Amino acid sequence: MDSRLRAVPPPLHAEREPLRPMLWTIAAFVAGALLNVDRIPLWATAVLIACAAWQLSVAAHKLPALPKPAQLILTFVLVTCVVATFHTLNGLPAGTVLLVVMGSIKLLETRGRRDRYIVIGAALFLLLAACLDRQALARLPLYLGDALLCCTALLVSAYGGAGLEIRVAAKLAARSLLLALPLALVFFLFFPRLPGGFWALPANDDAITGLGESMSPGSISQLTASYDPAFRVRFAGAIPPPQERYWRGPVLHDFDGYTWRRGVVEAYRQPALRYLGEPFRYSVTLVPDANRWWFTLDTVVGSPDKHVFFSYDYDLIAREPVTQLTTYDALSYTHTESSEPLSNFARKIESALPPNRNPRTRELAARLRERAAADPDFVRAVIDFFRTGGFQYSLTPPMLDLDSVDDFLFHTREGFCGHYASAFVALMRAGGVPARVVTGYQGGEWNPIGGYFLIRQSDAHAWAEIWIEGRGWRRVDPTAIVAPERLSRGILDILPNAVSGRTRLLYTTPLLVHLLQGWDALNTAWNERIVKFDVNMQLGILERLGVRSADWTALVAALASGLIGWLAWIAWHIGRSAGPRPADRLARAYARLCRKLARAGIARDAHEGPLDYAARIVRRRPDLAPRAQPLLARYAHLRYGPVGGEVAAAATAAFERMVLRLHVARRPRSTPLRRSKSL
Amino acid sequence: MKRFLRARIASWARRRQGADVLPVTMHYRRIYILPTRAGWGFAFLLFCMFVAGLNYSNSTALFLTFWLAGFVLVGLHRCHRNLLGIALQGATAVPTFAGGAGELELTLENPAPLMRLRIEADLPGVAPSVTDIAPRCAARLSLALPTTVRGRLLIDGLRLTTALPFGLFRAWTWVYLPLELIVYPRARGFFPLPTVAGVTPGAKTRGGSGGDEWLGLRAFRDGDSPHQVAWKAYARGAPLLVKEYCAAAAPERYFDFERLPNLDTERRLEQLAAWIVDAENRGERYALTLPGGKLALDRGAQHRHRCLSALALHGLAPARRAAAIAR
Amino acid sequence: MEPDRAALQRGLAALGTVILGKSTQVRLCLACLLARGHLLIEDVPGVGKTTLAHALAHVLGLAWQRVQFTSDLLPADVIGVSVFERTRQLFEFRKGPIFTQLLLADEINRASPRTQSALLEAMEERQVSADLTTYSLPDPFFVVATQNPHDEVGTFALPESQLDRFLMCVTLGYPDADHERELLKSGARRELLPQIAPALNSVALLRIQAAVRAVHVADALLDYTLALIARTRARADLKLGLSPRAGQGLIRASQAWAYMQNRAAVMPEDVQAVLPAVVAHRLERREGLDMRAGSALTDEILKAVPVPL
Repeated sequence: MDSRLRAVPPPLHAEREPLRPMLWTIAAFVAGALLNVDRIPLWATAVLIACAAWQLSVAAHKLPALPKPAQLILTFVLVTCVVATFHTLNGLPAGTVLLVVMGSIKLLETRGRRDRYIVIGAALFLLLAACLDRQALARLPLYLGDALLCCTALLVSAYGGAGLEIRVAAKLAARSLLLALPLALVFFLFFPRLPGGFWALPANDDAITGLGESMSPGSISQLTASYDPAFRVRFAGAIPPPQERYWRGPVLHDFDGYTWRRGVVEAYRQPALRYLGEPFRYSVTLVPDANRWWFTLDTVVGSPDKHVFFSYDYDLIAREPVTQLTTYDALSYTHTESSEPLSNFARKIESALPPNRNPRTRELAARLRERAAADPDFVRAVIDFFRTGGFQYSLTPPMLDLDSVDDFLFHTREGFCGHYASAFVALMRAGGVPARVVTGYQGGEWNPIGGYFLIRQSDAHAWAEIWIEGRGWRRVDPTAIVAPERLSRGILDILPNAVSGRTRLLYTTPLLVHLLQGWDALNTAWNERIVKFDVNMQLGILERLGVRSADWTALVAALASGLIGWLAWIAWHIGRSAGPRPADRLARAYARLCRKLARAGIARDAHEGPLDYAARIVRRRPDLAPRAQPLLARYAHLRYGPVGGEVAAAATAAFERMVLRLHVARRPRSTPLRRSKSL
Repeated sequence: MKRFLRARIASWARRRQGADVLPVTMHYRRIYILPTRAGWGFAFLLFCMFVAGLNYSNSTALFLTFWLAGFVLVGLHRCHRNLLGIALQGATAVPTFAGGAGELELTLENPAPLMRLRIEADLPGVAPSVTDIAPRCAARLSLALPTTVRGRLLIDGLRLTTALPFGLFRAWTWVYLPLELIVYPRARGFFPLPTVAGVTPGAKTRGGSGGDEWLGLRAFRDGDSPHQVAWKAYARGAPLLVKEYCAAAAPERYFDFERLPNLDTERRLEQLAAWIVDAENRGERYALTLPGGKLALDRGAQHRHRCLSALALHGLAPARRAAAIAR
Repeated sequence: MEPDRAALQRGLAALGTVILGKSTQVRLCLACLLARGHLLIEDVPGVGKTTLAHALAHVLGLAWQRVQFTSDLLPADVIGVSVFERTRQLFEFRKGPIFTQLLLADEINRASPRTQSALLEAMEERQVSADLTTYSLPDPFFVVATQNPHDEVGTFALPESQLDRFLMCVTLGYPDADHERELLKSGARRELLPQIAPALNSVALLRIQAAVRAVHVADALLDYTLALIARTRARADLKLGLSPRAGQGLIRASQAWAYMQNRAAVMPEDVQAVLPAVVAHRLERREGLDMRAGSALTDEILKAVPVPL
């Protein structure tokens, strides 16, 4: 009647849902949602908070669970809300909100371990959504913290009850993440990146306005200097001198007497250029600003990208607005020459002035023109006029009337770069010299930590270009004539009141400046190395590692060897700790001693104390005893005796040395066995 | 289907591993590990994250995905290690009466300086039992084994499992120990204890409170403890009297299988079991006679177990261990 | 403290002349008393339990009393009694034999449970309460009890909770052939007792006890002791593991043993030496399992717990 165990269903436990796993699950989800909080509508946040609070009360047995039908209705209503808000369920913003909403509802019906896992999975996906949305370095700690929170929640959830100390759980999760880090790095570095996505990504249309495509100096009474970065430039090789650091942006051709516009331009042929001097190679990283301009050092040779148009006025215009960090390599010469004549069509465009506006300017131009023999003389005369006319640089000029150039030249005589460029070009055109306004940036702050130039919005500038027959387009910066210090020194030095007190403090305290530069360099490194990491950089790393002509097979090989190496390491590292392991130096030295003695054929039993062991050695291997016994006694004293502090440390070190020096023979030295007489 | 698969794998593992001898240390070769359902779900989640990261060419998202993948693999090793090195030091089946729940008591030892989380022992058809084991400590696990009939219950398919730390993998090991549970017959019957066959009318010994049989009152003598004085009587005006008790001598019982002729075998065994339990509770000495043998007059837990085991195994063939293993 | 150690050695030597061939047991007994613990000597009659107890009392130079326990012994016979004074119409407490420095409780398992528990309570608290008054027992105060485990008729085995109050339970066992021959030759050992000069006195004993308590116990040793205790708790075949009180006792006894070995600190070997005596009587196997001797059990436990490195 040998009976086996029958299959009996396990007893049903009407167990209370433990509070702690629920708490951590909720925390992980809410944290994940909060990472996206600025992108989800207020009502979704409210839903999230309400659901989390409700579920907390349920877990604490304060409130009943929401009935199923109510949950279904809620789901329907909320999904409808998402559709109403975004008109789609696709794409990152709508998807994120949908995830938050659905996760909140799932939270309401979370009962067992399985439900908790689903919610934690949703929390991880919310973390992913946050990563997809923004990759700023400053947010990295938040992401790390959330990852740790989710992993800890996973552990707490798997454990169930309350027996696990939170400190222990968090430590375990953190250590696991740390151990996983090498693998993540290997995969990050060597997993072949596909250029471009699998499907089209919806464009981001929320834009911030930067440098505009028109300029009306007369309408601005106060220019606030923004210290936000515009772009960063890293030179490979030579760096142009300060007076050549003009970053070319939109060129304005069309003037209506008050406003300069780029105009609906009938483009003319770009006059061929001859490049003089040495080229400058550099890469530019644009901060997204929703404009289509790719700024370059004046004058760029060509377009670095087939999607970017190289215009007739030497501008780079992208097909799509810049909505994410964009880096491109470019080649520029600061000196050019053009011997071919300007076409009549072009000459007409670049000399056009509105007929009935700014009469005094025209008059002045005619007067100066009469005196000048040729174009260069006229230009010099105008420059002299600016130098001696009592003009003043100001960021808070008075408003100008509709004949803005007249008003500026003969009345206010106070303004910033826009005013001077505008007036100068108007004078040129009135004098029959083709001229145009170029906007862009000038200067830039050298970041010694990162080794690059940071060009801020406050470096925005406008200057003039004039056509000299036989020599081509020449740059004239009237602002530099009026206020030469504007070019060599920052805006803060010249007009300290142009910026807010806080900004002034930030950018004038040397230590803070240094810190800010460091932070900016770090951000730049992050953006250039990590965020913009692509297949070319991957191959570059391989080549630096010594792989010649690296291609994707080399990448896969690197990946595989990294993976195998990591797996072996992790197996060894983790498996090692499962066995009993000597805890401290003394224990390790003692273990070594025991191993040596064991090799001599007299192994210590696990339950044998050092003195018993010594006694046994004396009995069994008297030849070893003189050397082994003092060591064992010393160990016993160090381990169990009243020693402590530095004495113990020194004595332990001495003991270690003695153990290292101990040499024992495998066999007892040939002591002939003495036969007892009775045998 | 799942149960069938599990049984097949278990029998394969048994052929591979062979029978175990205590103590059983969980080394690499005997630990199996597979993802749990949550583990598969997590893999799917990672795949989705990976596709999203790749599609957006988003370094941070990709890094997060790779990191979590590494985390899962670390979890795999940690789960494996959670079981690795644990030694099953003892496995004891505590007998019970048929219909009751026997107990399989397991002693697990953790020789390593790390905490073992949620080590679970289970048998097919038995509610699992879970414990944590602190570093360099041991822990006990006890499994309740439901029983129906008396006899010998072979305990087969003992499994130690763990899904910790992250619940994404489940590591387990089978332990093939020759374990059996003695199931005593149900202790029931309506016959009173048989009249004492050879009572030795024990000399009644006077004692302070050794027994609880009331003997009477006697006059107070110098040296008597005040605790024994009958104060109530004194209060009523009687002279000082002292209460006296005595311990009753224990009778002896002889239980004989043959003397229960009107019952079938199982009923007789149940009746005998009931008597044994009863006699033991009363602190009496008893002897048991079965057709196959005899157990002499004695008392105590040990004697009780011998008697009840004899009843449990009465008429059963000796354990066919080899056959059980082959199955 | 050297004179004390010397005196202790003299005492041990003297005990050795009385109890032949049982030096380990004798040392254990002495260690038990040095650790301020009560001692239970358990064995069959005629191996010298009572002689050992007497010899201990002699050698330690303590005032001692002997009580032969029988089933009709009342608590009052040990503790003392409030006697009714007819003339004054009130009770007066007369101290019992327990008011001494060393109490020999012979055949303790013959007394009724009530008497036993009265004695054991007094042992634990080192004081006696009677009629709302508390009487302190002298210091030092020891109980050396003997019992015969194989006596079954008319005895009341001490329950575990009571046994826990004895720091050690020492089993003497039969002497080996050589010593037995000598025993037979020389006649009753108890006659030698009056010839033994007390090696110690109560003041010296208190001093030694203080010194014993000062013997260093390292953290590593505590770890080892804890592992031993945990082991007993984890074993499936034991009804109960060791109590914290047993753990304290184990440490104290180990300290005394280390002191007697002229050591300044307790070694694992000391714990191992006293463990069987301290632990065996406190462990009980579960019902329905094979009973094995306590010593085999402690041996298993010692073998199973590695000494930490």
